[in-house]
Amino acid sequence: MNLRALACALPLAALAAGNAHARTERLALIVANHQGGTELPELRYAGRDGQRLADVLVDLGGFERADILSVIDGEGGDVMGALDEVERRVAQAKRGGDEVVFLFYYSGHAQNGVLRLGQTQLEMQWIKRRLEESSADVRIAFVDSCGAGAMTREKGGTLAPPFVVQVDQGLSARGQVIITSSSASEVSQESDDIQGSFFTHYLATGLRGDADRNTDGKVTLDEAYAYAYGRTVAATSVTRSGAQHPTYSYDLRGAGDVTLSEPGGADVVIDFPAESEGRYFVVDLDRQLFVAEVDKNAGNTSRIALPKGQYAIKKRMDSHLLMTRLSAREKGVFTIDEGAMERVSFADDYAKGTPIMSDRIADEVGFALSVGLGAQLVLDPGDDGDLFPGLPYVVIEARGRNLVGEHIMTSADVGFGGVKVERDVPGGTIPADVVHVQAGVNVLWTTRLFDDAVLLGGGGRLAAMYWQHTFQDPAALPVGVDATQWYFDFAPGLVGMAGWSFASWGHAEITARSSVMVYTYDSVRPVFPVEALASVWFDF
Amino acid sequence: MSPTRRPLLALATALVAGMALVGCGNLSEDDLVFFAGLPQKKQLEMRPAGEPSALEQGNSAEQALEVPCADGDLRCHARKVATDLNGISFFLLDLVDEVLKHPPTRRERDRRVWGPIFDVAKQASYRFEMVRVDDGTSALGTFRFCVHGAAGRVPARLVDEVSCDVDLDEDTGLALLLSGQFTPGDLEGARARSGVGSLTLELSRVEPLKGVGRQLVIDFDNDEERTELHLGVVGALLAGTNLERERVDYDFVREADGSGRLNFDAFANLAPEQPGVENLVIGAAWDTEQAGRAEATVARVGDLEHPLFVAVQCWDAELGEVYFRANDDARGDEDACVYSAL
Repeated sequence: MNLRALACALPLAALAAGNAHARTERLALIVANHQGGTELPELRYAGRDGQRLADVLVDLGGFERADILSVIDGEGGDVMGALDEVERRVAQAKRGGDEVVFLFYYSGHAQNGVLRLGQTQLEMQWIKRRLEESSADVRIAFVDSCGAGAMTREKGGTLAPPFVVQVDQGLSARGQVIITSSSASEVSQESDDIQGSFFTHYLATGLRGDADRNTDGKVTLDEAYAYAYGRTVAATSVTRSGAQHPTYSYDLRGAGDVTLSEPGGADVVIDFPAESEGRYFVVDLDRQLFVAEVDKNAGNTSRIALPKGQYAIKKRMDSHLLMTRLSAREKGVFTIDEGAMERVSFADDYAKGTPIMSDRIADEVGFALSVGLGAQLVLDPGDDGDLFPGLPYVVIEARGRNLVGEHIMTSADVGFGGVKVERDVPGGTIPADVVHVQAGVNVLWTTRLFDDAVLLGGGGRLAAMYWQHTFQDPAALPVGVDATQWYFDFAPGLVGMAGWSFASWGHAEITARSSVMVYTYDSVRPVFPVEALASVWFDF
Repeated sequence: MSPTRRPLLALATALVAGMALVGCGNLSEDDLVFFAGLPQKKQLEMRPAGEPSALEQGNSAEQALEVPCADGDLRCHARKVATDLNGISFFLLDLVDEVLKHPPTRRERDRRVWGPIFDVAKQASYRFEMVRVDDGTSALGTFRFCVHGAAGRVPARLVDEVSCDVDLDEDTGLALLLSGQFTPGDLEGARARSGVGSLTLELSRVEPLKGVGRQLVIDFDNDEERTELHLGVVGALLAGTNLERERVDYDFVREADGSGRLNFDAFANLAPEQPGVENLVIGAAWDTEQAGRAEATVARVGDLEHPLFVAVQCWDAELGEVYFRANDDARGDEDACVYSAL
């Protein structure tokens, strides 16, 4: 997952109830820039975010493709010129008596209240003033970038959960709404999993119908914001950079709600019935583009609106995918029947290229608990195994994922082992019970392979190790030898592991450990405890 | 990596490496070998005819001493003497065992040192040392041990130069009290079952024993076939003679088949009405059935040819007396004696 600044101005537009005689003209300016100057990293998905939003506007928002202007990887001057062109078109529409909705979307870098467009800059407040000065009846801006909240901080900018647009009945909507992807002090993040920014991804998914709370076939501004806010906060709360909170600035007057999209009137509607449950991914097979994500509970229905095309719907299970092809060349409602979805291995996923394969275990903070069995062997160059004999070993381990960083697992374990041995003495042997107790902390770098089914990791370890020998017949010992002998030391070492996920709640692992400690009693020499373990993990 | 993080990494690395070096405990193979070289009480035990081991449960030297001997019961007196001497030997080994209950103060390959340990009750300091010498005489080598003692508290930093070769350390006042050596023979598990060795107690430096003599020396040699012991107290010479004023020589041999012999030769003031001390000699021999003969002679020192008193006692396998003679008074049948003479 890459950090990134997003800026966007989301489409939509709404129109409201009101002047029944006026026609509504919808204009949009999509600005996206992958570069933010030499000191900022290149963004990967800014252009794709802009394209996704433009597609939704055309598919469901009532926008004509020709009325959407785009400035992709342009400079500040290009944006100024595009705004001038928008204003020229607004003026032209107003002269014809039309009401005008103007949507501004920005996806790119921003820093200190300034949009970074390659080597050039535009102040957010300047953009805001241009919107305020526009003669369009409704101006809606979506800014998807780091610190985008600087644009809403003044005059009512609110870091808050969803708002509800309430305007007096009988008046057309007039005014301006600015929605940002994050607060003024937060970063906005993009994700390799969803191949875009979190905020724009959920905004676009919501506009396709998943945000339609009241199932009236329309996604209003407040529904879209509520959906994007909730999903963005939830998804980013488990990332290393932490949660990002979308904000809004609202100055809208007039009657009716502002409708951003009308998925109910779309050509193709995918219906997820009440009994379906889980996380579904919708992939446009014609464009190999991930277009929507539905995460639903049983009992509610969800609908996603799409243009005509060919789609794949897939759902990740513990060890495989459920997939179905949807050839939606004609208008219609297509209901998902999970029972009819085919079982597909991860390797045979035919909707690759728009992944969202991961359930983001690799990114999420989580915990796990394990019980393992294994054996310990101590390589002691100065002894034949009397002091540190091989023994069976039981270990309990608690682990945290991503607590200190992405791909980093930290864990603490405690283990017990024991064996009966015959200790060599000059005149034969003496039986003794050997007990070994060990407690350690581990830090592992991990990676997942084969669609997360396999987990590999390696790292360092520091253990406190204790051995105790109890001679079964103390009377057989020479005077001067205690009936109980023990040894304690700290042992730094290495750990390697390989795991296999067999269920959503757990996985199995094999672990190899090698440590070194220094034995100092009879002589000073290094000894090397080596352990091999097989364990079952319960993931939380 | 920033320069400020390098020292932190180095510190962390050093810390982890240091932790690996702080191992502690007493887990040892060497101890099992080292301490196997100590003699056991049964190797020093004298068991006259018909006597069970004092080390066996329900039998002790104290119990044996509680039974008074009838006049002229030489076998009983021989047992009393053996019990007394066993007590001395066992006391010395108990002294060593008591020290060994504590972990060594200094532990080196083939060498252990305990102390100096300050005994508050006696207001004295003690130091014990064991050294293993790989001289090829046995699989485990030969073990030397010694106890030094001094009045008052002796700082540990001053005892580095003290060893078993030092009789008196002038810096600390530590004087040799007990010394010995042992060469293990056959081993039974982690203990020596047999071996050859000696113990020497410096009587003149042990307050309650100063009057007994100058040194007590116990030599022992035992194996599967026999147990031999010699105990001697060496004292000052009698004025004008080359004879020692106090002397005890005790020789004891017990064969694996149960037969044995002993000889006790001591100077003692047995006739207070006469000047000087007398020489008491008790000899005994017994066969595998424990039937045996004992003879006791009291004479002036250096004049065994003209004894003041002679007694002979014979007993059978049930330890019943079959013959007794005191000077010229006799009872029983001397032909019933298992031995006609010693």
